[in-house]
Amino acid sequence: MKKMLAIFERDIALAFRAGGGAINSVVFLALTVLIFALAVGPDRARLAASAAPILWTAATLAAMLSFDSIFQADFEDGSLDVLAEATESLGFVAVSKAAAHWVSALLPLILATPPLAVLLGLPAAAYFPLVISLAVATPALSLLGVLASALALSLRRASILMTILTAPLLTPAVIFGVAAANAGAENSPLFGPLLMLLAAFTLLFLIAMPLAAGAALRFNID
Amino acid sequence: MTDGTKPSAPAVEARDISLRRGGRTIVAGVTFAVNPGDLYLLHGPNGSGKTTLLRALAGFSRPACGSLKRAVGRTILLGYADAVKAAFTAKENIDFWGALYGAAPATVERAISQLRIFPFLNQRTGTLSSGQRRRLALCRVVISRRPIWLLDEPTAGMDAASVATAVDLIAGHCRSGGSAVVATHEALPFAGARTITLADAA
Repeated sequence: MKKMLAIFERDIALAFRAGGGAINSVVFLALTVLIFALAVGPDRARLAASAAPILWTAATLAAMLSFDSIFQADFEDGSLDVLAEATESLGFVAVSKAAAHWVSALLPLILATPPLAVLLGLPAAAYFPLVISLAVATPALSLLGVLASALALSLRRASILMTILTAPLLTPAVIFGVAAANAGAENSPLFGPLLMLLAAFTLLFLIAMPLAAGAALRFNID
Repeated sequence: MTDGTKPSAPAVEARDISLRRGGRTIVAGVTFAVNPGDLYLLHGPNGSGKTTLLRALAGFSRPACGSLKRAVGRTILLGYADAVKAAFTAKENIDFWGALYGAAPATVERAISQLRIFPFLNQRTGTLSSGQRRRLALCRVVISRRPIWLLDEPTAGMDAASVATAVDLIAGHCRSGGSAVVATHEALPFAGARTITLADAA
């Protein structure tokens, strides 16, 4: 547990250093949303109606952008061997890395969502459901990213493979995430159940990912 | 040493092990046992499997045949990569290792003074020379407090004074009941070291 915390803290410290890439995903998110807003044009109603799907799409793409680097640096500089040897359990390493990834790459995305929602003219009642839907579902994205990064570790330039690998698995999060955000905005009774569905999705990854990622890492550092 | 060392059984014992890498057998029929106090020098030309053997001893891969017994959590591998984060200072790297291995502050401080890290303690490791980085990497081995050191070219890039420091450190570790397997191309002045020579596989 202490070891997991040490890895978690180290990763967050590294992410917020120069070149750590913590703000990359936020910049990507902001640019995507901005370009989308420009593309739709001055039709405020249309923009507001599509605000939740736009933000969800942009956040997902921004998250996928950061998957590549989760294990790459540790693999290249020998740190992954150190983590494997010190913990004797790569599943724990994977969970620590996923938690650190969420805090350093996805939490900033969630925090950047409300100001961007203003830009898109999202109705005030829709803010909370949107942020909550992101907060519940994005841990699954981190867990999935860790798994994909672990699998593609020893392949050079694996971004394309990573995208193909992760896209089908994270579509449920996008579909139900947007549905939950919209249901919450309309005060629909489906909001609660949809959130639970998202939580189940996250929990499923939390259970399955450590084993799978641990095995993938073990294979790749052999 | 916090963990109780069992003096009876060797902590690492390889019996007639063969190792394969990339579909080829590169180490064949190696037998040795690492007992407390033992110091082995691993020699052999490039590609003869020194790194592969050390990684197998560290538990990263299994031998293709033969038996390899190793006590879990007793070995520490210093690979050819330093495992040092360039964006961190030497101290930040050391603090992380201290937390990772649960080392007491006294252990960490002793490691810093033994390896003469102090002059560049607060410097970004990205700006260090390769010899300084190697010393820092060795610092991790000391901080881990694990008894069996598996060192892959520990003195790579070091100047004469640093090599002497490293040699003293490794010899001292073995005198105090630890053990080490050192893969090296250099003629390191160890007294009483045993040598394992790996033949070129090609």
